[in-house]
Amino acid sequence: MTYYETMYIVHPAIESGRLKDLILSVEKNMHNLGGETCAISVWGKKKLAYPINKERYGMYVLFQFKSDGSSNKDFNLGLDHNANILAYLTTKIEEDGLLNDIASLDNQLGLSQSSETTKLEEKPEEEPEEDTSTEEKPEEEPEEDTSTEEKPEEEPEEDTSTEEKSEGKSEEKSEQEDK
Amino acid sequence: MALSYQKKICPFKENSELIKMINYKEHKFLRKFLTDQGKIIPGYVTGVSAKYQRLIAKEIKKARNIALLPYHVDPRNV
Repeated sequence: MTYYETMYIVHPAIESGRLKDLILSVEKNMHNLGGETCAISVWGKKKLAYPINKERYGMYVLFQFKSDGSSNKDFNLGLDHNANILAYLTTKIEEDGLLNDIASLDNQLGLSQSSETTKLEEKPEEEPEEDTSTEEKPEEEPEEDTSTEEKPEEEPEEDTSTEEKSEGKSEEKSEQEDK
Repeated sequence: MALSYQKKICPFKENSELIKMINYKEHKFLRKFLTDQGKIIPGYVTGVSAKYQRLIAKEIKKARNIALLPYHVDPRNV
């Protein structure tokens, strides 16, 4: 059993959901031929050095696997017959060339939005708490300022209240006079 | 005929870590060994030793196959 890697270019119009199905179908094809998957790395959309089938862009996918070379011919034939794959290249690699620490396929394709969003939601929740703790100090100072500012504000209010009272009194007086 | 001739030193013999970069996936590195027209620059120009020039040429040809590097660039379109 030796290590091989296949780099193939997928049609750029394919959506990420369908791209995942295509990648998994290629992987399944290799499994059926007796190979073992080592790593799948999605490079993403890149500009091609020259147009292939009149397409100027393509999605690059790197698929590393372990197999005896006898089934590679059938595997390449399967890629050839797939209309969504523009080009492919299968090469032999050493064990050192295997990719390690690769994120899951969903993360690479940006499909696991639900889990990512939950993570993102968790993070901001933590951050504001820290911000509030830091902001508490400056908040205290303005409060003092407001307390000082409130006093002059209160005074006019009192004035108004006294005015109201005076008005009320005057009204009462007027009522009494009417009586 | 006193020519001021300075012998070029192979970059891969100076720095052995660069040898790992000779791979068709490192197309940005391999682009150093191409002309503006997309031709492979000969070893006697770049100073790369024959051993590594053979490897570079093979990897460039792989990268061309998978459209990471161009076969040729038309200077009129650049």
